[in-house]
Amino acid sequence: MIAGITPSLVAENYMPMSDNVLSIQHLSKSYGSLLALAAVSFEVPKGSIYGILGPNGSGKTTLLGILTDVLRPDSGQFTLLDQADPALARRKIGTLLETPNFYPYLSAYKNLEISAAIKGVSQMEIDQVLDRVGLLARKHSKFSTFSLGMKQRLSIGAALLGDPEMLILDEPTNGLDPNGIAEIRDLINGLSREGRTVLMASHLLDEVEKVCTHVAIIKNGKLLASGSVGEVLASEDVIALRAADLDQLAQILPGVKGYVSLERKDGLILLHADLGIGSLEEINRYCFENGVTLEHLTLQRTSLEAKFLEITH
Amino acid sequence: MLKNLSIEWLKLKSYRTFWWLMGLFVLCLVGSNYITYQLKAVTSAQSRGGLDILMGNPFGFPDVWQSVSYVSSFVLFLPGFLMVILITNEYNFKTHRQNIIDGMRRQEFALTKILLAICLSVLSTLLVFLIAAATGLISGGGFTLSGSVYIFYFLLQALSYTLGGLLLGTLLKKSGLSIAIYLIYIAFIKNLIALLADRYLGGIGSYTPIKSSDHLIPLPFFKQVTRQLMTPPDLTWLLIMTAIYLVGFYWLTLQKYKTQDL
Repeated sequence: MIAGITPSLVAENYMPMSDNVLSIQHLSKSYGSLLALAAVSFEVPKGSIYGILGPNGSGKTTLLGILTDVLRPDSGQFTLLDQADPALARRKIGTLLETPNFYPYLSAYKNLEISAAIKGVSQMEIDQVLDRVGLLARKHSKFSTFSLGMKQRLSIGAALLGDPEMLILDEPTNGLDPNGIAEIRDLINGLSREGRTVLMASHLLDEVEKVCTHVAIIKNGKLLASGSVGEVLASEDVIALRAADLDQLAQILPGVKGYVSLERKDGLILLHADLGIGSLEEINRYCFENGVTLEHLTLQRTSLEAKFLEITH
Repeated sequence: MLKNLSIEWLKLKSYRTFWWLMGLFVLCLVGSNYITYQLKAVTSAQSRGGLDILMGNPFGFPDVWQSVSYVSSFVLFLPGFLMVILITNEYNFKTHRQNIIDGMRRQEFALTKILLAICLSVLSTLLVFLIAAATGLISGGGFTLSGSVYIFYFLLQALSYTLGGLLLGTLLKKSGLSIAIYLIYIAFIKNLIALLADRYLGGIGSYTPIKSSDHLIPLPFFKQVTRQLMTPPDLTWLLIMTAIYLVGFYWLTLQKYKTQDL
């Protein structure tokens, strides 16, 4: 279970490499008068878990559709896995879209036979991936007899065929129960640890925060921010303080190193400051030296939701 | 391309509707020719040879090539119908997307379906060739390939139906609507357009889509009578128009896949 993992911990597992597996330049796409993507450009480093974050209808699925050649861009270009032929690149990519797309009258095995044949992958791998997603016992059952969960697991199986260098996931935890969500997150982290790059679209900030190393924020087809999660969703430090005499405390706090602002809330003073310059210990010492003994000193962070709303509004 | 055709075979070999429709097609081919053959035999016997003066021997060589091709052409809607189902299935299951996502090129996907339509047409033509040869041999007389050009015309007609069905399914995407329009076109609209074109566009009704390939094989019975009643359309123009429509079906299907959002 990795639900409690913070971006910084995920970042430790991430081995930065110089090359990018995906480079997007000025991709634009309109549906009639609706602009779905407006000259979006960003780069996805190899080995990263890259989240495309944005509200529903922001253009995430359109972007993934263009990358998988399901949609045609109006302008712009992209390079996948340094391949001049995007079809060859797609064969080395596992894709998991919102709905599983299989032939309902064929068995799980025969459906994967088709995927394997297109990808140029040995049929020997089919049983291995079916085993990995727990469907080996049902490999001869028709796809139409599968439950939604089994259908999604078969999609994951298909995505894992051919030892893909990269995975493209569109809202991978949509419609799943908490166990399913935890399973998918474990899988994503496992795949990343194996050195694969994961590009995933999500409208859930929490999901991106817990899983991703990098993020691109899209709204109304426009790229608002992109980079490492630490950079993009960097939040100001907020220090909560209390002393017997709050007025005196408020008077001396502007002298703290890295001071930005302060506010009073619920009998506390919330100090906004850059702790890259100062530290809690220094603040404590500073207050004591200025005649104020602190009764309470804790570090809070502005919520990511607040930061996200700040970016998208 | 052979690899993509083998992928197509993986989709087809376990698809029950495919085998049912193919079985029905073979049954209808054999059945329709058998019924026509028996009908001719019975009426000939009843007229004590009088009918034969008018009809000749349509099931003997060399006329059998034309007769069997003509009768068989009435069940050609079945391979075209099958093509409509096979292409709209891909849209229904969204597997036309999945194939591309997995790494097939859009052009390859379209060309494979076009190749499948060609294979179905060639298979249909082969069956008709065998039925015609067998019927001719049963009717007596020596085997001859003279007049077998009608087998080639049947191939062109089969291609018109299968590639036409493929294009219609590609454009409309929805299976119910495509099947309905396909069948209505074959049974009704095709003739209506031909009638209107004949009346208002200077008698070019025979050169309209699908109709031009239908007219490549004229009614083989009562040739003397029909020749006196109507002027047959120009064969060269029928061939030219059929070729133009076939190239059009091919090009539009390919273009649609190359440019559309899937």
